[in-house]
Amino acid sequence: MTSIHPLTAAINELRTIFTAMGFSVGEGPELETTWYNFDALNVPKDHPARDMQDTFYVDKERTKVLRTHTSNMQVRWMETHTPPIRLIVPGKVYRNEATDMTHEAQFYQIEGLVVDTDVSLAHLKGTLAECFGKFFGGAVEIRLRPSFFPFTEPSVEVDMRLTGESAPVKLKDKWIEVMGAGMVHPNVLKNAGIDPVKYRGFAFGGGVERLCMLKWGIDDVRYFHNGDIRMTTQFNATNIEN
Amino acid sequence: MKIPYSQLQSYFNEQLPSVEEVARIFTFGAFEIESVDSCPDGDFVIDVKVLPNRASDCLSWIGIAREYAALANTPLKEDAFNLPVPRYETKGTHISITTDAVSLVPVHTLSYITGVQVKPSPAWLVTVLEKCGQRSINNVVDATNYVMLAYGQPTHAFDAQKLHVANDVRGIRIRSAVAGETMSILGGKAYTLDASMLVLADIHTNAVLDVAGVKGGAQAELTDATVDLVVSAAKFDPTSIRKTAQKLSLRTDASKRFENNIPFNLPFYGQKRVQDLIVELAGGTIVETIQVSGDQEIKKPVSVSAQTLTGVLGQAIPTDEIAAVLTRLELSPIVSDTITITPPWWRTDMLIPDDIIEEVGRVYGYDRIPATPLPEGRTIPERNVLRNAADAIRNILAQHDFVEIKTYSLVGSGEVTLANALTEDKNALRSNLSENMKDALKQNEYHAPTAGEYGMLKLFEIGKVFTATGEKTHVCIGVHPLSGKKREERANAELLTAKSMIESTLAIHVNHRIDASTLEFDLDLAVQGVDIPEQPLAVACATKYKPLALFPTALRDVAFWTPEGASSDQSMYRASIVSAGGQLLERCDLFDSFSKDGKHSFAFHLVFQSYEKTLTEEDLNPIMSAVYTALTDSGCTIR
Repeated sequence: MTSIHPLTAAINELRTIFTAMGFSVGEGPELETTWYNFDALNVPKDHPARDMQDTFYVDKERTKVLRTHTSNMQVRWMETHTPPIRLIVPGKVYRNEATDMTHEAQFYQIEGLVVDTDVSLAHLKGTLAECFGKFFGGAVEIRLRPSFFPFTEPSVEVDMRLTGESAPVKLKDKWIEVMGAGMVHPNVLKNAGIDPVKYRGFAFGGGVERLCMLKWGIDDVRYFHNGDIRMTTQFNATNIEN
Repeated sequence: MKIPYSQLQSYFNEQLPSVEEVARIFTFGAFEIESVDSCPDGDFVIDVKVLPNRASDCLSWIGIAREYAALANTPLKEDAFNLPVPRYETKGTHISITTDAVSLVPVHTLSYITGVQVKPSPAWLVTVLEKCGQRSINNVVDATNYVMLAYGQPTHAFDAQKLHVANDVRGIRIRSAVAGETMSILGGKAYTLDASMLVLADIHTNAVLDVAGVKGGAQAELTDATVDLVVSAAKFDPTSIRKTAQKLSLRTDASKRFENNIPFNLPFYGQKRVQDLIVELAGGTIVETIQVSGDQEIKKPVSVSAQTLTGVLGQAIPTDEIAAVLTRLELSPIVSDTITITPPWWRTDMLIPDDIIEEVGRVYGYDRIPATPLPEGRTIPERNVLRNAADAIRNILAQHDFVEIKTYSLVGSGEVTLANALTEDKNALRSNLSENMKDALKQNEYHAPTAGEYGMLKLFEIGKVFTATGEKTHVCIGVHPLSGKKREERANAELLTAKSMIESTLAIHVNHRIDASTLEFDLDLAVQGVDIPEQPLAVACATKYKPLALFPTALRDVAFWTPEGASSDQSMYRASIVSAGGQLLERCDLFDSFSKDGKHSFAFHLVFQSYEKTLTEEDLNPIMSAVYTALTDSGCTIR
């Protein structure tokens, strides 16, 4: 019986893929300070960039939030580790938005961070190609489009395209948006006590439910957290060959 | 930011390529395109997603056109922004302006225009505004909206006759509002202001005319009878405007631009454009224009080493190509081993070396960057004991038929509450997993057979809980007997057995909390000081998914004796049942078998599921008949 939740299965696959590339796995708090969730990531108070994510605040003074992204771990980890750094952070995040088939107030993201003396966007492309190729199976192309995040510069959106025979039929040959990414902004490195002249890094982040929905054809994101066992077991719900 | 394709074309002599190609050029060089909509007249409206980094200069048609010019290497037809900055008088004879705090109002320009005729706008203006989602009001108001869209500069026209005159002079004073002061807008709604908000006030009477950067008041609103105007174009402190708009719940196209820090010089150009356009549309004479401003800001050069730039982009780019790209972006590059740019007045976002790298990267083309693997052997993954412990527990539980669930962290009540919850039933963080688990046990009682579970529903969740003392990872096991006797005893035994298995497998001790159906413990605490290596998941990954059925399952049992001397292999009987069961049969599980007097008895649970309706007796009776027939035909006796 398949009794492991699809999110666990996906995160474990991703973990295996990245561990093989030398990445550590971090967790980080879900209930976070505004400092680590925003300010340390170059998202200052009273700046329009804060509007990019709808936030749940825990106190009226807005010093504590439910983390809006797993990026909160970037500065936490860098404060306690010296480069070279390779880290992924799979974890639950929260957005203060209405729920529907493709949106939930809580969901999982996977974050990646690489900091070293000689890291580039070429390495970002190569790392994500390796990740998605293994996760979805088959050959994969990666495409970058210009975007903006306060904590990266340059910032990109990442699309992938699966080709070849082992690509899932529904996804084959289509460009699909999967991640946001970029080179870590020097202010973020500085806030973590890392010299931005000596070191640079890239970071990426994306939704895990989305990857599950793409890989397994799950069509409603609300199934992931409503406690219905059929989400987990129905992969094996029938023991009859049809 | 909406721009009609025809409007974009108006900035170029050369014919633009198709709208699809234009969208593609933007998408891969600068901006995501939200949508391209067709208009009845054959035109298109391109909705450009302008993110905060370019909201200062590209919430405007000229900004977007300029980006296109750089990306497509097609020059702009004409460029008002490259003409010298218009300068106005610092004192006027008919109008006067004063600012209480230049730090909050770095630029204020005001013009006095007499003899205008306020009337409906010409068709071309109505059309372009409507294509951008703006309603046409009258020629003067439309002119201000046009300039806001074209340049990104909000401006405001006041009826000059509604300003108090003293010594022939009318004027505007920009000051802080007084706590409790109100301003009404057209339509009657009144806003209550406070001292943190900037207002434009009559220089003589001090009456509030306008919430600076946000909204104009009814006091000096234009009507068909308006003949003379004072027209204001200014720059305000971004944070002040943002906070004011938030407090008043009044976020406007104007406030959006101001909070994104419009360029210092923009009001000078905007003032010229709007007064020229007003006179073009409404007639009249520009009597005078005055300005008050802080010190002109000086654009600092920014540098990056060529080696860093090519290193970050991961590709060698010839210096002449770098220079060409930066020239197209009007960044006045000096390129050698060091690349130095001086941003033009309208770029407020070119501040650090990384900004230069992004400009070159996106215009040169991110597609040219080769996908390169990270070098090996640079790092060794750290052991994450908590994660490994969680995986070990998953393996143990899954191998004993426990099913993993994940439930909501946001619940109706808990020790930690939210300040801005969406709904009341989700305004706290869960302080334990057991409450959700009890709900899940109830909710899933009827789904258990679909998983082949008939005796006891067994679930678990591993996740975070939040209490006043902090955030912890908990494990919660839940059991619910579905059949049989002594349910409470069996449940309790099952919970404690599971806990023991976890303790012995991980060599840990667990302090747990237990009740009739759930057992919960703190995993953080349990694994302190323990080392647990990585655990590959012992269960296979799923490969297929079907949408969850919205209709309940239907359960039937069938029990029968085989003929005497028959094989004790149940599989052939099962095969007949499955065959007779048809499409609706989802599971067929043996739950009892014994032998007596040379005969065998088998009993199967049958789980039926329809994806279209709730199955009734009428649906199932014929199927069960078919099942019974199939068995009796092979000599069995139904019990």
